[in-house]
Amino acid sequence: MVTLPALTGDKDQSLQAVLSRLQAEHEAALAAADELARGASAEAHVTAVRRLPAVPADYAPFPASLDDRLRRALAARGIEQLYTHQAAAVDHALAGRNVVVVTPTASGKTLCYNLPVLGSILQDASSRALYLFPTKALAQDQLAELHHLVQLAGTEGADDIGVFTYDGDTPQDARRAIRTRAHVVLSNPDMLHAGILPHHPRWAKLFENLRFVVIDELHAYRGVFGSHLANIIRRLRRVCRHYGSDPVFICSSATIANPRELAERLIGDRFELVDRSGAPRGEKYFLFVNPPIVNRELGIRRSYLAEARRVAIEFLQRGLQLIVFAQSRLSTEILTTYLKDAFQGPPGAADVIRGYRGGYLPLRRREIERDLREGVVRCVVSTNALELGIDIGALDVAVMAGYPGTIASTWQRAGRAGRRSGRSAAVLVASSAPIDQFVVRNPDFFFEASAEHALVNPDNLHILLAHVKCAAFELPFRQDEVFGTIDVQEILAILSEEGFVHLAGGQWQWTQESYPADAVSLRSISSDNFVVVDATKGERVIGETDFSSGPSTLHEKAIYIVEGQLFQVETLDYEGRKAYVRAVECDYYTDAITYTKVTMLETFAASGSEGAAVVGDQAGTAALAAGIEMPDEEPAVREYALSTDVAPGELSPATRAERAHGEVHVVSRVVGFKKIKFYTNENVGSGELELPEQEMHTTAYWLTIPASVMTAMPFGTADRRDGVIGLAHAMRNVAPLLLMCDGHDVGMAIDGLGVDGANGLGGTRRGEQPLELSAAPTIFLYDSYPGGIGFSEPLYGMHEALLERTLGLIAGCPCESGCPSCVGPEGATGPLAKAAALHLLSELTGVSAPA
Amino acid sequence: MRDLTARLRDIVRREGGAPAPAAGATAPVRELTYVPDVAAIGDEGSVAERMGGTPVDAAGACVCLDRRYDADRSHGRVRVERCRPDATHPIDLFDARVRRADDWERRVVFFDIETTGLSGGAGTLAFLVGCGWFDDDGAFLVRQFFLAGPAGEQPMLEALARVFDEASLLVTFNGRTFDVPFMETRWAFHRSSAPTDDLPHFDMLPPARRLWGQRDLARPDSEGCSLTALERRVLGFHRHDDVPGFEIPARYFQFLRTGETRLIDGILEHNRHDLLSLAAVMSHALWLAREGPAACREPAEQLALGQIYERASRLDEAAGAYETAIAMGDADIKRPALARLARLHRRAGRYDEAARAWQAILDLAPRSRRTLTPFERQAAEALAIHHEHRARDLERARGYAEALGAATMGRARVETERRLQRLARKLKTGGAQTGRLTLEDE
Repeated sequence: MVTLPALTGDKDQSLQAVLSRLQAEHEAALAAADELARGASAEAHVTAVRRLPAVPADYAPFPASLDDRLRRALAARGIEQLYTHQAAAVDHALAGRNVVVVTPTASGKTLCYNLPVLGSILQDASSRALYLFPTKALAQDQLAELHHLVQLAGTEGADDIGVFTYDGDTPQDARRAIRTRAHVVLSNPDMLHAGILPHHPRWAKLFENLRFVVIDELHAYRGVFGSHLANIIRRLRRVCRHYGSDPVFICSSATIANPRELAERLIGDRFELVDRSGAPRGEKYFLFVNPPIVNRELGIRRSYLAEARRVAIEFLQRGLQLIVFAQSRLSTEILTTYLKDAFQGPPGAADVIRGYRGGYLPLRRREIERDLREGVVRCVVSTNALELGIDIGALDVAVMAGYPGTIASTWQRAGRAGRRSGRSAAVLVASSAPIDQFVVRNPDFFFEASAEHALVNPDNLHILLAHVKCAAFELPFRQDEVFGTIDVQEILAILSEEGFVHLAGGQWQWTQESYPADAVSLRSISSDNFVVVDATKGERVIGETDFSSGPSTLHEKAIYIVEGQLFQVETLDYEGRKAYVRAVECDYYTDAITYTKVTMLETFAASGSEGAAVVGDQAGTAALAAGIEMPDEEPAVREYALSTDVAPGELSPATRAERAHGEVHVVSRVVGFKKIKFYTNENVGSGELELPEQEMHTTAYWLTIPASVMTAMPFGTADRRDGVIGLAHAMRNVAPLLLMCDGHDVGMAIDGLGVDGANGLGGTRRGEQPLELSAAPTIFLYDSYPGGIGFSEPLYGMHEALLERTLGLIAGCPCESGCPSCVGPEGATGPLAKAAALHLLSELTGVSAPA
Repeated sequence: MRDLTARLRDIVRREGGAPAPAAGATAPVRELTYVPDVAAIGDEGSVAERMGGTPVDAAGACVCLDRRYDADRSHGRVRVERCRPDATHPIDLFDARVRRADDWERRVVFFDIETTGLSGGAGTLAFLVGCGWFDDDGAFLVRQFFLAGPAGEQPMLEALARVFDEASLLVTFNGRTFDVPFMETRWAFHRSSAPTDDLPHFDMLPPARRLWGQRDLARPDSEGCSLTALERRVLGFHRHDDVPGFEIPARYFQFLRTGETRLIDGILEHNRHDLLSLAAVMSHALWLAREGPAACREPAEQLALGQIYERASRLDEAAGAYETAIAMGDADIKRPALARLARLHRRAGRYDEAARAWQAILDLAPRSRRTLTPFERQAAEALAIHHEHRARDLERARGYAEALGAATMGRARVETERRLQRLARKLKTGGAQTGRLTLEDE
């Protein structure tokens, strides 16, 4: 047990001390390695140390268009001038131009929108504004901020400015008053979608006078969520036109590659970009840590969670306050447990280590946020839930256990530590996932590359259809109306066939009793969720989980963890969407095994198969029909016979990979689980499960390895199979890097029997199920959302680059015969997986792998 | 690549089609009590003509239908002219916001709407709005506005506003929660102000619940407080071939697709009956309130009336109503009536009468039963207090407390134990200092 020093003293010095120690360790390790055997551990422990120098402030005078009273109110708060980016944003907004502001954390972005909004209300009391935040918590945060500003301006006649949050937590009896009295409504896309737009007549006063719409954290609206938002904005602007208003949009975004493009895609209008921050920044250190290899043959590194724990403890012991980001809810809980074990305070004392993730109840979250600001909590372990701008005060250090998946989100998380002056640090601890290893081994890639592009596909047919229904409910469509880029009249005609709408008098009238917004959830496939009920003493709801991850985290006998406290699921009431858990004490957690099966429905485009493109709607059987299943072998009887039927030289380019993209049907089912021991990660048991399937239609890119290439492989059957698995594993990890998307947005399956790599703790793990491999196996990379988010077509286009990068990853990996960072852990694939995968790649690309 | 239409159709169907049938379909998804013969629908005349109404707007998208119910016609057991609420009856007993005579000066308008759904929201329409009022001859006039097409909504709202301009009081059944806010939404949709804003409004549902709702407690199989249940019970009116409420939106949607006005006829009738029954039920409720318990047909009404008087602080009338209910009712009525009467007596300082009422509750209990119902527990406790502190009969007080002790749990049990101990102490010391009320008891 360790006691923590007080949160006082010279933090800069403490920080420097820890950083020096980490670096010294790294040098000592290098020296020791030199002594032992040259090159035995040539890999650095700390692979990069970057110092980001302090930046002074850049000021600009108040824009002349800003209300004088507001200027005086700010002066009273000690603000005599604005940062350049604030002045530019205010100027654009007040001139009626849509603006997107890209700003780092803590650069005063809220003034960028609060000033024009409050200024316009001061000048015209009927003026209204709507703010959208991606989460309720952020809205609560901004409410306090706005109240403060209104209070300051109060002496200047702003007493009557009503500012309210309106979300699922707003009491029913307060709603009516808010609808009429609020000048500024703080809400979220979900509430706008299901609570405000369908009831727009009740909000007539807001919509008639809507001057500004503020969208904070614009970068959060990528992929599915963004595609939904774009459609909600289409609906919002339609309703505004009905009430005769045309609001200006003010958006703020973290650093991404294409903020203006994203804003223009989401809003459907032209935007001004303000991307040079005038805010000062303190000095920051950025460190990359790669856990040392503990078993070179197996390519096993020390657990990155254990390494993150060690790094966190170093900072904690020096009296610094920190945030630790973990990659999943499970790893968040595991790290919380580890750190709590290390810093168990005296009984009854306030917790200094807390966990934080989605699924905690709001009250618990507010308490943790407050205790962080007040310094009671010294370390919070969080999922990406704290990545967005919730006010948790200025922390000293951000430790990332695992690469967050994107450059943008890594900077965003790093930004949670740091003040306007003084030193801060961010430490990235790499897991053994391929993408992590790529990043820590190539620091320049990270520090010099631009952040990712945020992609949205507002015309995803599933999403679009859902919102056309909602829009038709809100206002009848005119026969000449346009909604997005796809012909909405055609959609309406089909909806009419099914009785949703009826055309009369030039208008499409909604003809359903139902309320379409209820059937559409913006955040997950289904609007359902599972609640977790603790039945230890009475019945108490302790958390919730979205529908799609319910089966894998709440199956019977699963260990469910809340802030380090362990519960075991006793029964899962799948129909009732409830999991009953009981507090237990055990030394393991569980990790579900998911099988995924993909069936081709339709090919949009294909090439590579004997030069002819496969186009047609019954392509589903094309790849599988040719498949002659190879019987699974006893692992002991590996065949090493060389197949010499076809000499490699005879392979023509025509026999190389057949690739395609199109529509697929994905079925996944949780079939079992493993028990993994804390700390050692030993597999200490397993169980089988019978759970219902979850299915979706989505888009996919797929690659079929021709039978001729398979049979020509100079490997035994089992090794060929391992080669395909290894290749798929590596491709699945390279794809997000090329697409610049989140790893979770892409799923992978082989042929029919699934290998789910996105399971469990950062280190990829897979079911040890026997794979039946067809003579011409197909690797699918699919969009993890019904209807697709638009990744498959670009991936098809980048086919060559995908294979080349995959080849580069595997060939460049320092392991001997495969490791989790390239083709997967050796335990799951055979000893020749790496060689077989490389062989496949060289056949498919025509490029021979470097020896 | 499949064409867009095919893919769209696929998604729409996969995600579940609508329950309403497509145009010309012969097999509706939801079975209607009337299925139109699509082939037989002619194009003769406009919707207004086929319905026997007059177009409100030039295009005939809104149709106005007038119907007169003569004064001497009967509606169940009552004649139409008797359905008219009397301006001199005490309406303020039910809703203090409505003044007795002032709001009756001009016209009392009964109002009820039929909508395309219950969920509310911008896409739900009131496709039929019905207004009813009495003329000087005691006849009931119904004016209905029907949407032949969505374009008729604006003219409908304007016509409705003209009816409301003539009204001095609006009467609805559940209108405070549903009909009026619903229509206000429609006015807001068309960006005009709602004429209901300053119009006094009497919602008959809460008074109906108070008068006739508590029957449910005693009779779980009773039909509740819907207007159709009340008209059967209070007016003896039985509907024939009534359109079930859940079917109404589907019928309207089918009308939109087929133009078959016969789908709507039943809905018009349903709406007219609702209006007339609303008037009759209200009239009856006001009459009961004025006439008092003697006019009631059921002891449950007498009990309810007592509570209504009590709420309005008309305590003597309340006591009278309870006494009537006790005299007429069965045990299920007697018990609550006795309990309420006992409390009225105690508040007025008539302790002995209160004790007699409590005792009467205990006397109703069958001898064989050992456990106490909630009413009996209240009675036993009140009697224990009464005999300990007022009648100063400690032995009897102990008797009640002991009966109570066996039947209570938790906190009440602790209090009873404490009472028993105190009684035992007092009995030992000869009940010398029993003259004072302890704080715990009052």
